[in-house]
Amino acid sequence: MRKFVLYLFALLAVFGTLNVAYLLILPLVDWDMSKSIKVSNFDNKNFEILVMGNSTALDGINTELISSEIGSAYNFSLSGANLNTSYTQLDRYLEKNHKPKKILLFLSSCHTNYKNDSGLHPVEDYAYNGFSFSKGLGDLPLFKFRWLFLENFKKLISKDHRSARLVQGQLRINRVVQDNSSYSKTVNNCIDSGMYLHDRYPYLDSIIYLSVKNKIDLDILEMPCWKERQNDCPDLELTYEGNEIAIYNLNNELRCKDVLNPNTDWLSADHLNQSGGNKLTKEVIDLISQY
Amino acid sequence: MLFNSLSFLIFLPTIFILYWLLSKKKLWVQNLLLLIASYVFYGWWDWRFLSLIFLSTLVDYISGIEISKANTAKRKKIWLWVSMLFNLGMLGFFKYFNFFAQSWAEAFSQLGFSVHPWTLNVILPVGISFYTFQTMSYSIDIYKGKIEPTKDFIGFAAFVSFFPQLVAGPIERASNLLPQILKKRSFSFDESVKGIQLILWGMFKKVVIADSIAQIVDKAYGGFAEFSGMALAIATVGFAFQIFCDFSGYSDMAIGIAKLFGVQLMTNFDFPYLARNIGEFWRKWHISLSTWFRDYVYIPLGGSRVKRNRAIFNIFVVFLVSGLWHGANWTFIVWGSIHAAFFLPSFLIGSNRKYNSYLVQVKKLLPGGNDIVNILITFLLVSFAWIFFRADSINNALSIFEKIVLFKDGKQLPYLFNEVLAYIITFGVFFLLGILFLYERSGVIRLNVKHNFLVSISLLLFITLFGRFDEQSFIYFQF
Repeated sequence: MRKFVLYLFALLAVFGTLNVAYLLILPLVDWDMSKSIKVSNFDNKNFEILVMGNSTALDGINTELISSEIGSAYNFSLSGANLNTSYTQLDRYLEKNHKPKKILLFLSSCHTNYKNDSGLHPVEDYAYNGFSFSKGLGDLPLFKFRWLFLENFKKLISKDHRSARLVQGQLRINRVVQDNSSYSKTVNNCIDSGMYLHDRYPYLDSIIYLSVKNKIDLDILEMPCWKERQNDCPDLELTYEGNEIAIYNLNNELRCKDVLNPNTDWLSADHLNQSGGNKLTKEVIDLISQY
Repeated sequence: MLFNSLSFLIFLPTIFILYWLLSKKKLWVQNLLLLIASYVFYGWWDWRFLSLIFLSTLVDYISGIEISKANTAKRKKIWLWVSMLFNLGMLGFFKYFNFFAQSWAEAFSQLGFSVHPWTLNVILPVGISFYTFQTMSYSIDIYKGKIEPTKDFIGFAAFVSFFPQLVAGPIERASNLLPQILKKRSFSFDESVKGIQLILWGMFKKVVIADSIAQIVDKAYGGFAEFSGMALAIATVGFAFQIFCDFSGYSDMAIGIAKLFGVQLMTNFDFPYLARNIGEFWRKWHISLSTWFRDYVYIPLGGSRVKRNRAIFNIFVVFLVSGLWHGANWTFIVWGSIHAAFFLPSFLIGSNRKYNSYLVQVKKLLPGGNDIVNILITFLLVSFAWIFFRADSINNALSIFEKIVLFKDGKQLPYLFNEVLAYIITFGVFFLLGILFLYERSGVIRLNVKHNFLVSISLLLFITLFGRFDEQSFIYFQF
């Protein structure tokens, strides 16, 4: 029996070691993890424009281009980030750094509904709060960051993923997947601006509140998807305590047709590659420069 | 309590420690702990059904003693019938009452009579098909003089309700399990290490393979009308792996857990998808049930040592009953009939027992070309039959089959790069370890403690990285 207990302890010890090793390796190899740790250590930074959002903005918004055209910018977007995560990033950034002039918040209504999404992103949680065992087995690094295993495994089998780079927070990937889908007008229903606050994205409130309180311009932008998920909805304007906030619909079919090439600009059904990201960023610069 | 639940993760080590702490005490104290643990394990689902297990235990305990001490054949038979009627009556009431009531009503309505079936809102007690078969075999074996009855009620009750195999088998024979329960168990390091590995292997098959394929299978079979023939074919092959990994995963865990308690359960799956014909498949799939039907239905009917027509009849009876055992639905009966039809040709030409050795052996490390072709054909036949097992109705099964063979157009299964990559990695691990275990089982290699350690740690790693932990129930619980 004693031998068996030792066997079990050895099994658990090796498993524990693998967890610790995974936690130590991730910041060295994983883009999200390394960026989040870097961002959590930002102190006294003076970016003029902050780009917030999830993986669609992480791949699709070129902050280097924005910096050269408008003013210094950094892409804070994180794969799988929800609005609560973006809010936390913003709140903590504002605590230790200079106020930016503008926040560009990118949403992706075409594939995500944030309605019931209030948890903090595990990578963000680790970057700001460090390791804790408050959730028991759910906090084991191999479990908590399990999807990152696949993300980094891709680097072993895909040259495109190996050669991807993080530049000013943007993840640049050169892979091309053609959009062979077709647009169907009846698929999408447009919503009015009021629904953004109350029906669709309840956690948007807190971000808007933070920007209004700190007198920072906020623009909201809906990221594009493949033609099958595009719509014909117009741009909107949201009024919040007397402040006007623009909501640009980059997923508008006509706008997408003007800006993006379905054969060269996509990485997946809702993610742009480097070429698509550059084109979309130019469109974003044009849009926000108009006002 | 599910094996893949957090509550079981606390339950198992607690009982394991208490069990071996009590090993120096009297045997009945250890068995009492096993009995209490088994009743807690079962009562976790629905404590009301504990009364059924208790009654089944009591009836068979008394029947066993009475059969043994009866001095006339008639009296023996009466007590055997008491056991049979009670167990089959209980099974019939809880599992088949509504099915037969509705089927009769439908049959009458075909003849032009309008009948409203009288059905009951009956909940199927989990595992009832397993423990009733186990207790019936006890009474039958005593009747046949194969075993002696026990007078140790606690030991007998622990045998009936032994928690590792209570709800989904293996359906143990009293001749194998009862003697182990009735004598002092000793702790074995090697067996326990093997037990841990089996638990992890079973868990891997369930939460990594079966539960992730279930997402595809449920989607395709749930909305089969809109999916293409190719998508349904993929889903059907997926179901073949899902049901194997789900059920054999449970069996592996049950066998592994039993080993931790010093008990050896029978093998229930022996690489069934490497079978080279249907006869071999049924010697490798759900072995505890197929041998049960062989010993208690097929052989008493005369088996194959009767006239040819009667033997064919016996085969059909066994396969139909086996189908019905799986569930109160015509789809299961058709599934059983299809297997009977597939089995029959090899039976008639006498090749059903052709393959009795493992695919690989010490002097034959790789399978031959013929073996591979036969394996693929058998797998296709078995997968075809699974369509009827998985579909909600016979009509749906026929529609699915039609779409597959006619390559009908329709929606494809969603293709997500990350999911495909996850399938490639997890199936890669599954096949690699499967091959390793095949070579071990066939005696080509021998895994020592160090190898077992490496296998266990790899399994733990992949379960953590790829397992689904939403506590999905095991498919065979519904049977």
